[in-house]
Amino acid sequence: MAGASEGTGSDRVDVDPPKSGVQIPRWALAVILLVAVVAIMSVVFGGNAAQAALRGVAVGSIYVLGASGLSLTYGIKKFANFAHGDLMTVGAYVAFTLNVAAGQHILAGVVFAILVVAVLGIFLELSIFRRLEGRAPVAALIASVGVSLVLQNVLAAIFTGNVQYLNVGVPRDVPIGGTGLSFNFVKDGVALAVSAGFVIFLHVMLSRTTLGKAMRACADDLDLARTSGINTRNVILWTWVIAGSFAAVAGVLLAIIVNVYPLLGFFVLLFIFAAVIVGGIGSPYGAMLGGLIIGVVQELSKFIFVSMQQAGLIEGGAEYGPVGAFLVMIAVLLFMPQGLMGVRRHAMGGRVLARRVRRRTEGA
Amino acid sequence: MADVFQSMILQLAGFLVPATILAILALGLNLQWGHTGLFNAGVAAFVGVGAYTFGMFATGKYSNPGVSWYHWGPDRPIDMIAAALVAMAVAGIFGLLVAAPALRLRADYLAIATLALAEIVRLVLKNERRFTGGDQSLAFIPRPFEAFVPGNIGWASDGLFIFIVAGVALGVVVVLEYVTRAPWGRDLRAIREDEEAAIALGKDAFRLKLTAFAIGCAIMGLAGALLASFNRVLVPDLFVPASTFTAYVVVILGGSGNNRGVVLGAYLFYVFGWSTQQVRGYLPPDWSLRLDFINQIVVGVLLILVILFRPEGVLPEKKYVPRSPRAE
Amino acid sequence: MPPILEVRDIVKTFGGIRAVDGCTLSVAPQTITGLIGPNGAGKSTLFNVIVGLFAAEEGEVHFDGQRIDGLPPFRIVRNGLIKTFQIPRELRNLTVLENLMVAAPPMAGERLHELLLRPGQVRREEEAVIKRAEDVLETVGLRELRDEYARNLSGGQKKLLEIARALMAKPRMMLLDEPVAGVNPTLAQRILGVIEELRASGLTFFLVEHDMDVVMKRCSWIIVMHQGRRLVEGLPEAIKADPRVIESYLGV
Repeated sequence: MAGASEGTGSDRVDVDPPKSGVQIPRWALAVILLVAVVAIMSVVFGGNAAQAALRGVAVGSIYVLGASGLSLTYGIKKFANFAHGDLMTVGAYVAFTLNVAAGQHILAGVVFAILVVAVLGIFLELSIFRRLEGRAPVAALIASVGVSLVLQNVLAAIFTGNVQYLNVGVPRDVPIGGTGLSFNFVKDGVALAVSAGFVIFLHVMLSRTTLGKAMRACADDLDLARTSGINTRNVILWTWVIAGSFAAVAGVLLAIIVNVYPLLGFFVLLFIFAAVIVGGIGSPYGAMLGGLIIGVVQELSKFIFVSMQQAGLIEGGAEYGPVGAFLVMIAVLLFMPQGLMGVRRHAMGGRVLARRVRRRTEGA
Repeated sequence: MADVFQSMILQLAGFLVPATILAILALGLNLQWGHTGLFNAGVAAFVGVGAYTFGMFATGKYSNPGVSWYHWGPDRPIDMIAAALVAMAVAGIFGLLVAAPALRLRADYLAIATLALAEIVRLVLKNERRFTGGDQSLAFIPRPFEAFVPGNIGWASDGLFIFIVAGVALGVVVVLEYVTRAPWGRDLRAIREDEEAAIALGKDAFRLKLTAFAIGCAIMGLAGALLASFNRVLVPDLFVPASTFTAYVVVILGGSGNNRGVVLGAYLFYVFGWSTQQVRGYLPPDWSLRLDFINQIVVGVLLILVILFRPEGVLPEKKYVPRSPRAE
Repeated sequence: MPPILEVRDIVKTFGGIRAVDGCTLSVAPQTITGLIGPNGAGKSTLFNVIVGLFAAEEGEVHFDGQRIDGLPPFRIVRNGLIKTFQIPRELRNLTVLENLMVAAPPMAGERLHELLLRPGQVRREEEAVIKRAEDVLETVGLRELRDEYARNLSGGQKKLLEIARALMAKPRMMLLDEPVAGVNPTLAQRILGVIEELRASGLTFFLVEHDMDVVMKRCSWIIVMHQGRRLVEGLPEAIKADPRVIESYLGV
């Protein structure tokens, strides 16, 4: 690390120095804005909007699981893993095998799904992504597209391309008191609870455990982490294990709520990318927030499009739900690429800054 | 005898025409990705825009007789070459609009943004029936020289189409080879290698990238127009974002940056698909279904292997070794 | 003669840190002027600001009487001011010749309408540029490597390429960021010899170097930067003995 090292520095992270006075963080502003939008829409459109927001949170909780896993590998390996959705599909099919073919309880399916996908993640890292470390991140992206193709079609070849269902009873919606809203124990409740549990787990792990801190260090500056004595290879493998586990559980949830087919995970991949981008690459917390935001935006934008449809402006209505989420993502990419909780990266300035800071702290 | 000949032509056309259209599409992508390093994951959208624009302009408003609704377009159909040019222009302008804000994004962000865009385009095509006929499809799209071919449908029309696409493809290759071997192409490759260095050497990188992107999109639009004409019918699901990855496989396997390699890649891809079809007849029924999936698995594995071990593809970029003008 | 380069009160910050903190200096034409200072003094940052790769928050830059701050880098290069990179940024998968040709001033073949409408002109200009590139390669001693991919060059050869490339742009002034750092002494002498020859034929050089021998021997004027601003400037003998300079190097 000694000596001048000039480069684009675009992967260096600078932390803005603490500003004086009270500063509301970006993400809090976003949450406030979203709540305000939901409130306004509930007034305009009535109870259905609030119901949609609730549904959005439930949908979003699956995105949260997928996005936090994705953001872990994105942060540490520095590439967009286009196969992440298919990892979810693999989890769904493992659960299907145990639940339907072998007649086991769904929880056994979950456990095995986690095991299989974690091992798969390790396998992919060792055989493919490790070898691409010195190359441009696009190489790994393309390789992950290849992996995606393989995974989808292996599953289709084994299980056929038909839609399948898990052996899990999904209860009916239950109306909530006098609010006019309804709640589904599994679709809303279980999904939220499971997500919340995993989110808490991730938070505790990242902030309290040695592994978690090592993961954060590696995501921040891999070289620095390595020279500081962290076994970066192992940390990377553990990251894949955790990311894979999250993906597996997300896949099983999707399988329970929707169904099982080879493109299950790929279908939500764009939403998960949207969540990671809105939340900020490199921040698992951002990914969590992003997942909820994308879910709610997706459901809410259906309302806007339906009323546009009724006004005769457009022909499609609820089908345009994804469009709302994608437009938000594109807007974030263009105007706030670091996302809500990502750290601002200075192109070309970071290395200079880091060098000077390091020299100052190292002494003469 | 005549029957055998006719069915041979039909079969040949069913293979050569889509393969050549894919080659043209891949040439456009090669300009963006292979030469300039721009990861456009929205290929399907630009092809779709070109296809539907051609369809609209070549059929005119009231193309579906007996149906009460109509799709957007001029009152009367216009000449097919003009329609193709309009398709190219619309796709190119659409590309400009997308590129202007998006090109400053780094590669993976550009990929995700263009992928999302492609999905939005597909949804619009699917739902806005007054533009596109939506799921009911845009039908009765004409083919060139139909007047000379009695009955339009059949081996003669298909056979003629082979020559049409081959001619177009040849034209595109010739023009692209010329401009990419010229200083303009060299500037693009400089940007691909190290954009900041290229800027520091005096290149207006933004303008160069914008131009390359727009021209690539126009070529994709042309491929879409040809597709529309050959297919005669358009449905939105022809343009799912996943089909973008097929184009990338062709470009990367064939040889990024090498126009001839890319064309070769397109034909290899179809040969592979064709040979899969041949094997199908010899397999028991449930394996026959699986064959398509196995086909895709092989493609995916090939992609991974190529990226790992031979990223330059089958035909790598040719080295520029001009004659020395000094008398030695 | 008026200075060819003038920097007035330039401020450049990253995050909370002022890398360049109100820097004012000027460079006389047809000289080899040195820019020295301890690490972190802001020298490379200042160079990047001058050629437009960074945007300064405050201040102005004037080149040859024209104001250039705020201009995009490619326009500054076309005006005759170019910078080399401290760590060579060769265009890896292009040949040495191509690397040089990329740097040449705008050619007809770079514009699409000219390519299509005036192919003869395009070809003529291309040949002229190839010839000039070969001459430049001859000057720096890289002629035999003309068709070699730039990625296959040794470290010293890449340094030479960096300079050769900048020369192709027909600059009137070159900012060299550590042109001989990490280069073996023989090659360093050759590079410095080339620089001196070019200076005699009218070019101005402004260079950052840490090798004090080189700076003292080759520069006719030295500017010292410290913590983002100009500390002192003068003849090499004066700078060598100046207590402020010695202190700034020891203090960091």
